[in-house]
Amino acid sequence: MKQNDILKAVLSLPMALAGAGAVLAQNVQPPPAPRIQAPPQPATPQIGGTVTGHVYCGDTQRPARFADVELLQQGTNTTRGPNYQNAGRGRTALDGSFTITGVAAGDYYVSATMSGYISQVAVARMTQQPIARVPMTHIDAGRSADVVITMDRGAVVSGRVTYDDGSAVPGVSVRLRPLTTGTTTSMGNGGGFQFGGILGGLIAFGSDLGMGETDDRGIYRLTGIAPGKYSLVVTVQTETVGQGRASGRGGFRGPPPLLNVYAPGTMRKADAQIVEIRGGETDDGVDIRVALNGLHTVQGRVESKADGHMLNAGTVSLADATDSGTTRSTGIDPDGTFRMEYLPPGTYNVTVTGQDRPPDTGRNRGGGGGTTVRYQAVTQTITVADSDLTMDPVQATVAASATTSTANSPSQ
Amino acid sequence: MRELRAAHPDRILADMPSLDRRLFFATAVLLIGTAIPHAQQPADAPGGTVSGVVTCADTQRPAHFASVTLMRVPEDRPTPAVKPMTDKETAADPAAAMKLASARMGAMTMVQARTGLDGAYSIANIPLGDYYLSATQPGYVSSLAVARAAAPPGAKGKAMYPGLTVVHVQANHTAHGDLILGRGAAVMGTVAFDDGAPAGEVTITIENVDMAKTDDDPDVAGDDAAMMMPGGFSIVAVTDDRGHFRLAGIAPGDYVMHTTLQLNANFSIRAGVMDTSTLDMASPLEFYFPAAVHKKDAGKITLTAAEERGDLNITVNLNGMHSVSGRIASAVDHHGLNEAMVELTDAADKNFTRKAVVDATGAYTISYVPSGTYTLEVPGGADTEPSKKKPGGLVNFASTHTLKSYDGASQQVIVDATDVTGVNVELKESKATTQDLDRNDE
Repeated sequence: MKQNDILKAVLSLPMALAGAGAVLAQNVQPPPAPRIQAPPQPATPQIGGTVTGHVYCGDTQRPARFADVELLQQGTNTTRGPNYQNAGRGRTALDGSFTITGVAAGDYYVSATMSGYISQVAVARMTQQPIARVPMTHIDAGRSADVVITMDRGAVVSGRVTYDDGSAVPGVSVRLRPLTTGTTTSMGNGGGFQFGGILGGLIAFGSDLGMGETDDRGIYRLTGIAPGKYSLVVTVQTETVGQGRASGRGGFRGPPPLLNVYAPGTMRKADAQIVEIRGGETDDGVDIRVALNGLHTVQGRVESKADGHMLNAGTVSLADATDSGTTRSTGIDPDGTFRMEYLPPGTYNVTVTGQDRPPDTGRNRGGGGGTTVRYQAVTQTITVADSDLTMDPVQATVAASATTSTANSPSQ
Repeated sequence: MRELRAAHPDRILADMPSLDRRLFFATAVLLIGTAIPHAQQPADAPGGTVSGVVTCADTQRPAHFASVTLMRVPEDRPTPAVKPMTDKETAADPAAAMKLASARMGAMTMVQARTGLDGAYSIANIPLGDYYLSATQPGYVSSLAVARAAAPPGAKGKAMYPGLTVVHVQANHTAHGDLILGRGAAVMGTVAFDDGAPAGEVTITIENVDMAKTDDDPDVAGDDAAMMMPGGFSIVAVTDDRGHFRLAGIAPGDYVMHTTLQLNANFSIRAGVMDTSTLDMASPLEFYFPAAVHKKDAGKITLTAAEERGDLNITVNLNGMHSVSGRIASAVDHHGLNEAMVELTDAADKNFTRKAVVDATGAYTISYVPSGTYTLEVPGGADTEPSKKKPGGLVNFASTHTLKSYDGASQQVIVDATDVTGVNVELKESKATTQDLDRNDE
């Protein structure tokens, strides 16, 4: 883990506690401080039940040391599919034993997570399928339940990521994406399959299953992989959040543009290599080539159809006309222009959703008044051939419910 | 912000040596995003542009998508009229510390950008003034870190970054700043238990011996951008499932390396209310290369430029350790206190501590204590009951109402060949009742 990731990690704790964007939007108000080296803490009266048990490694038959144990309760409202709430967690000792106290009476999935081993809860999270192969444990108030968990060793996928000049692609995210997932694609976002809201996100063990990062030599190693079919994708960030650019005044312009490149070296999701995992095997040679030379830039600008003034905010998304799974997005700069770099030749549908934002004086961030005018999305089809492309000006019409006060809404 | 992955809270605990530093980090990240608005002049004020090319010294190739950072030269920025807080003050009022860190960082103008595939970058609309220019790329040494390492201990202001490239930003002009990144040293090894089983997914930190000394000076740390740069003070990695690790991009110098085991990280959630009282006792255990629990016994690692070391293994031996247990009670009627922290400090190494909190009956157990002579300290205790205040936030924490407070006490404990039991401490009633602990009060 790089220092950068730790920054993110540290940030995500107060962020998650305070409810994501609110913190960023109102940077004057401090997020809840990490509750860590607080003064002496009270012990809570021992209401509720206790879960004790042992975790073992299936391959070595040894105790799983300092493995994380998670308690999950199935949510009662299943109209939109199964959902799960975190109810607590613990960590095993040197002998694989664990104790979690203060658990409310009820039925729980007790699941363990350890590097290199398959966590069934993490698999459920990753594939958006209901939790399987984890027995339900009943816990009574004031009593103790005992659970034994044996973890299966997962498969390993590793390899090297390089640019087309042969140099390493260091410090980028590498992920296995299951080819088959549940009914929804987003977790905890009103979809059919959820894991316990903000708290669930904060303490979601194994949420990084099948994810890793290349080291300085471009080498990655993903472990604990369950059997299944996957694509392997590397995500290269070509710009920094908060970057100042020649055309704009800087500041946040929405999420930074991310380039997804699938093994063995394609930006088209449809052309991605299928990595099939049957058992606990090791696949050491799944290399990815990030070929960015000879790709093209598409740029354009967004203006009002009514009076021709430039819109100063909004988003631009692009989808491959022949492969809708291949998408890109970027923001509209304050001067009304946008650009997307490193596009392979092809036909794309470009959707522009513009806005008029009140001017950012540096003082009104996070709610200084003024109004945002929203425009209707405009979609155009473009063909990128063998050169960079400047689109005709995109002309947008004010949307029906167009005006929004931004007094209290977080700015992007 | 979709990218932000939920972190294991315990890993955060393990990685950050002091609360002040954690606050600094958290605030710093918030402000990387907000630094530009902070720095922004009125819309009509002219800014300047900085552009250049970043090259890798070893390959003579452009550095693809490297991070470039501009940081206002200290003497060129307004000095915040606020004194940094000590760790103790920070612990007492984390919210105030966060505000203060924010104020201090707010005075620091920092702009970040990335190079393109050709190694070139261009940053426009930069407020006028002098800036330090540095770049980072995994595996390479940040010029900021190199400059920081060359600074004498206790250096402040401009003296913190001797020799760092400075660019002068003028209105409507483009200043040029090229950088060459030098390959850093890299160390690899394995973290394993004494029986050979790998220690997977544990953090491992290598830190510069000299810089670690200035790390604890809040006056320097509060202003020091090197702290948030990869390699600025230390480099951190996590072992894989085999216990293997690789730390790269290390500047030449003398280092110590340790792994951090987070031994306890329990909490429960009932009806949406999170009880973190057991999480608060998390007491990480550090093992120094090659197999020491005390920093003074750590092996010094001397690294030269671009050196690769592949044999730096750390052994984690918990078998010779013992537990210390007992009960914290009232000196008046001998009932167990349900709120108290117990801390053991090694008499010969003040930096080595082990902690625990009492349970509802006043009993405590401190795990994994090496042989030695310790001071056992109970800073204070209390009788508490669950708070009746209804929490109404998005995320709620279990809070308590203090009924009676007790004064602290300490005593000596010797740990030798067996677990030490019956270390009971009775506390006198305090004259004043301490504040309720409301974990939802921000």
